[in-house]
Amino acid sequence: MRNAMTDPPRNDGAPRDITELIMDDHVWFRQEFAALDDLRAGQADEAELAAAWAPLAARLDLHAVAEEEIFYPKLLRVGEEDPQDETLDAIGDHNDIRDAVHQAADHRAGTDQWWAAVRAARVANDEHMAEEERDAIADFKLQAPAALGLELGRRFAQYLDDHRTTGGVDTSDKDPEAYVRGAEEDEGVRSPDAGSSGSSLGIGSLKGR
Amino acid sequence: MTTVTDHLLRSHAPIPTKAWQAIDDEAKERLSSLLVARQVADWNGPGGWAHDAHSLGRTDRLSALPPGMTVDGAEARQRRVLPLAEITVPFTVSRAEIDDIQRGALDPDFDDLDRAAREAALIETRAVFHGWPAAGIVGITEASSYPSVELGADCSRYPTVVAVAVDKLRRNGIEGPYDLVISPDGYTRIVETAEEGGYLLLDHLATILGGSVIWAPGVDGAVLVRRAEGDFIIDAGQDMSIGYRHHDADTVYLYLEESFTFRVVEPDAALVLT
Repeated sequence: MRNAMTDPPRNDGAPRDITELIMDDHVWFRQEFAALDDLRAGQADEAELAAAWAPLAARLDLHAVAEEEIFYPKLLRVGEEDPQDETLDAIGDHNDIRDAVHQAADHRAGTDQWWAAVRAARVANDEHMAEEERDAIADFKLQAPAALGLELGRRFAQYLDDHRTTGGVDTSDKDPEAYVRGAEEDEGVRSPDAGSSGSSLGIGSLKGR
Repeated sequence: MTTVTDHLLRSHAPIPTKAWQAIDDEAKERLSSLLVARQVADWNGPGGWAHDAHSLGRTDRLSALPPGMTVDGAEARQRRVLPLAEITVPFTVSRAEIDDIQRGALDPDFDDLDRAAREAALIETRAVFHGWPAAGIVGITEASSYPSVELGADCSRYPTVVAVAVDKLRRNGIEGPYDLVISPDGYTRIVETAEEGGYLLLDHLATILGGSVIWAPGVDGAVLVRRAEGDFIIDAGQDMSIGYRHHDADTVYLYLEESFTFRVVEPDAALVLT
C-alpha cells in the first residue's frame, strides 16, 4: 500500500506528556520518509518531491530546536542514566540531521545529490530516534514527575504551533559540549563558579520516597 | 559571560572544592529528610533563578485601555500568575573546620548549617501545608474542602478516625491510595503503639490508607492526602542551593537559598485532622 504524505502532528489542546508528543513526531517522520519512497517509486516529478519534502525538512529542524529548548535541559536536570551523555549524543545527532537537511536545500529535488542528502537525513534521524527512545525518553519517563512531563508537553506543543516554518528560527549547528554546559548552568545543575558540585543541591522531587 | 547562577558567588568563597563538596553533601542529606512537602506535592521545576511566576492559566479583565485610547470592541485582559517567593537562610562555617576537611577530617562540625537546613525546610513545609499569606500561598490545610476531623492523642482511636476520613474522601470521588502526613509527636505515638495481638498501629494505618504514614516536622496535627498526580504543585525556580555572602579571618558566611511557590489544584484531595 502506498503511503500518502500527511500534515505534521498538531496539538488539539488536550494535556499531553512531552514524551508522547516527541513520539508522535517520530512516527510521523517514519511515515513521511516511507511516503517519499513511494513517490520515488512512482517517479514523481521535481515539484511533487519538493512539495513533499518541504514540510518534513521544516519539522525535522523545528523538532530538534524544540527538543533543545524544552526537553533536553530538563532531562539534564532530572535524568539519572547519564543524561549528559544522552544529551551530547542527541545534539550531535541533531547537527547531523540539520547538515543533511540543509544540504538537500542546495539541490533540486529528485537529483542524485538531493536524494543522497535526504537519505543522509533519514539515516541520521533513524539513529537519533532509536537512541532517544531507548535512552533519553525512557530515562525521563522514569525520573520526571508527571506534572513536569505535562508542563513540558504544553510548551513543546505551543512551540510547534507557533513555528509552522523555520522562519526566524536558528537552525544552525550547536556545539554539544557548550550546549550541555549552558543548559546545566541555566537549570542550576552546574555553576561555572561552583567547584565540582554545581550550584543547586539537586534535591528536586521526593515524591514516592 | 554572566549566567543566572552567578548570583550565588560561590567562586568568591575561600572554600576549596573538597570542602564545598562536604558542605553540599551535608546540606543535601539534612534537607532530603526534612523537605516533607516534596513527598506529597508534584514538583514542577526547577525553572532556574530567572523563573518568576507560576501561571494560573486565568485572566482578569482590565478596566481600561491605555490613557487616551478608545477602540470600539477592544477588550484588555491581564494574565493571573502566582509570583515565586525567595527564601535565604544564613549560616556560617568555621575556616578552621574547612582546613580540617582539606586535611581529611571525616567528622566536620556543621551545626550551623544543620540549623539552617532545618529552618529552610520548615519554611517550605509550613508554606505548603499551612500557607504563607505574605507570599500569596494558600496551604493544603487552608484549601481543604472538608471540615477538620479530630484525631486527638488517643492512639486507640486512630484506625477508626483515619478510616472515617478515608471514607469521606472516597465518597467524594477521591480514590486512593492515601498518605497520612503527621507531626513528629503524632508519628512517634503511632510507631510506639501496638494493638491487641501485637499488630503494629503503623501497619494497620498503612493498610487503611493504601499508602504511608509520613513523619512531617512543621505540620500541625495531621493531614490526609490523596497520593496522585496533579492535586498539589510546587513550582520551583532555584532549587535549594548554597551561596556565599562574605568571610573574615575565622568564619565564612554562607546561605541556603530557594525560590518557589505552591498551589492547591484539587482542594477535595486533602482532609485535616487536628
